[in-house]
Amino acid sequence: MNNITLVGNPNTGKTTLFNSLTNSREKASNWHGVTVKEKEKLYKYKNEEFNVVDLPGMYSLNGRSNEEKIAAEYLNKHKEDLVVNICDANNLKRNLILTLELLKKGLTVILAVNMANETKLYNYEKLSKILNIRIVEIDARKNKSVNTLKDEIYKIYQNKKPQNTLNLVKNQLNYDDLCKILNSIKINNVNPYLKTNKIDRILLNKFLFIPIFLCITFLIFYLTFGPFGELFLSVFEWFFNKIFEFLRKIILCLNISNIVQDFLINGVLLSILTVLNFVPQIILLMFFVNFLEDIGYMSRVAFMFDGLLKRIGLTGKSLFSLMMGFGCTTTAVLTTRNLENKNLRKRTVLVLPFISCSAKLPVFLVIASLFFDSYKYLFVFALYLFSILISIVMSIIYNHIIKSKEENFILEMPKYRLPNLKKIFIDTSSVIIEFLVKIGTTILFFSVILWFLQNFSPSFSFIGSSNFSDSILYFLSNKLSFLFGFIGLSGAGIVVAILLGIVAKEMVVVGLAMINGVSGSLELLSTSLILPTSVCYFTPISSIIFLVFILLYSPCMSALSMIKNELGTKIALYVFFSQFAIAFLICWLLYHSLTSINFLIFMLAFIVLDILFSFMLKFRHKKKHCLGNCDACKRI
Amino acid sequence: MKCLADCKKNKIYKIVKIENLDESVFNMLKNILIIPGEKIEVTNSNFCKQSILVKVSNVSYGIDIKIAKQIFVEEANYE
Repeated sequence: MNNITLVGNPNTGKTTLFNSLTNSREKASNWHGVTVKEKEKLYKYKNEEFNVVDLPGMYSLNGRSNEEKIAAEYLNKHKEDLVVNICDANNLKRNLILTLELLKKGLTVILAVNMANETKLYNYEKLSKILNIRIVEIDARKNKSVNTLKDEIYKIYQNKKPQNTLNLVKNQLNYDDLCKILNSIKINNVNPYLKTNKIDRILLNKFLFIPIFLCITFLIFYLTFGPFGELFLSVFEWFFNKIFEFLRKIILCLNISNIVQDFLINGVLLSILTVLNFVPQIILLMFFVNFLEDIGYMSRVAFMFDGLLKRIGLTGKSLFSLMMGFGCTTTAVLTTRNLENKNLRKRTVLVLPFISCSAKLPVFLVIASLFFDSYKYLFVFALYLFSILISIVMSIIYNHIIKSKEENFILEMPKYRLPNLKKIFIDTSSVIIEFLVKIGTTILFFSVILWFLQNFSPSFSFIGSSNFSDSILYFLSNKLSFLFGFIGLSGAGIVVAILLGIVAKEMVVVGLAMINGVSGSLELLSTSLILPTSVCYFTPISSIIFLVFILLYSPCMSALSMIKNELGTKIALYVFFSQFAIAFLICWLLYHSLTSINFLIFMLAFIVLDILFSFMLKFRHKKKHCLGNCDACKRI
Repeated sequence: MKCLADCKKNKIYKIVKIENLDESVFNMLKNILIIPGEKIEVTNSNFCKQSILVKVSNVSYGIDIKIAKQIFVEEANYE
């Protein structure tokens, strides 16, 4: 077998070249550390098979990071393989240090100079002669000269001659010599980062950065969840509904029992439809995230917000995921993949469910309009502020629980590039496929369980969806309703709505309508929800508590499945139970504060005393020990 | 000689020495060519001044202020 190993510094385009060579769809990114283990695939050229291995990025063969160790170990074990060393033409000096190390090790190397067409800085023919290696100028993103590279690889394997590395390289060439060589072959003095520096002067300006960032985030939000997103969603929904109707008719034509028919239609098909309904928004969101990553903006965001977020135990790299949490927790969890530090990622994921996702908005609007119609937007805004506040508090708490070694922030700011739409589509589609395969199956499993709970009575006889009050779900809700009585939410109906919200937050409103027997009209639903004769009704206080509970309790099943997929079952279970516990605790305090003036005074006095006490302790600590110079004081 | 954290923006300095850093951080700096003898320029800092943006061999890197405090530089001229 003809083996080829792709080696190079991080973020030089190894995975993009791997995809071009093998026609694959591996995730590549304008952000270092995306490839964390080796990947391999075959390709055929002139009737010969070549096995390509894409190694994680490395600066040196003696590197200390996990990825560098994996790559170095692989090269040690596969000395006979042909090494394709990818160098970034815009940063050749740094990249060639690794090339020299590879040559000194006696490996057969082809140098692929990526992005060489952007600015021709050096005479590569001269460099080829000096180092005595083949050099191919490529542009992996545009698939340019990849066939020339394939041809060179083919020729080397046809000749089967070991590379005659110059003694100069083997023994003497060091960093200073490399600088001299590069100076001697320089044909252009243009700074390849000139445009990037100019753009940075605007984008990273202290006064402009936040407005620009907010505009970009708002635009993404608007395009994903606003009218455009809804239009995109409705097109998909229309398409999915047509397929659903078609399959439903086929099932109804089949000569099978009513229970199986109902299971296939309302259990399986409807669950698949629920999963598919997430797809349009994920497509849009991931497209924009990949777009920002591809043009090189994400690293800048991480850098600028690093200082602020470090104060609450997160880093600049967490910011984008947190912003996306306002849209959809499920996709926001997915975006945390860019965080290399495992504990930091855990903390970010644990904070995400406290951020109010867009699916909660309809519930907020319906319930807030019951008693606070004139101030409903102010009320909803207050809920959003509360969600941010609680996220900050929880982040500080989790920072003390899940400690990680303080990260030494060193981050390369990649060159700004025009977006490569093909690459962005490939990256987005790979996320969608993964979502459908991994998350879809989990959601399907839970939806089938929910169907069973909704359609069977406690004696396990089939009742259908029309006799909802006889279902196991209603029975369980009735049993659980005493627990919710402690926080002022009485009645099985409210509990059913809360339980349905675990499947998807959109289901809360559907559940309330279903229980009160109203459908199709929001006005009818609103009227029914304030009538004490309805199965499920609210008072002003219970409506506030219900909304805070919806804001804080467990995220939906798809978000939990995503957390399970990304961080494991234990963390997913922890999120489920801890969110319930925190929601209960806060709602209990809120309920007693709202219903008893004495309790409210006690709570306020407790908070004021706590703040005074902590200030007193800090003041004493400063005066006696550190004069405000210790790390803890600086952090506060 | 002063530390990189105290340097003026948009002025080129020459790295003189790097002190008291963890070996992994030291290696990381070496990999990105933040080594004695190289020229370096501070171009920006983030909110709260917890990290600074530096330019080495035309490439920009965000580095932690704690690391910047251990990198000592002296003024250099444009070449």
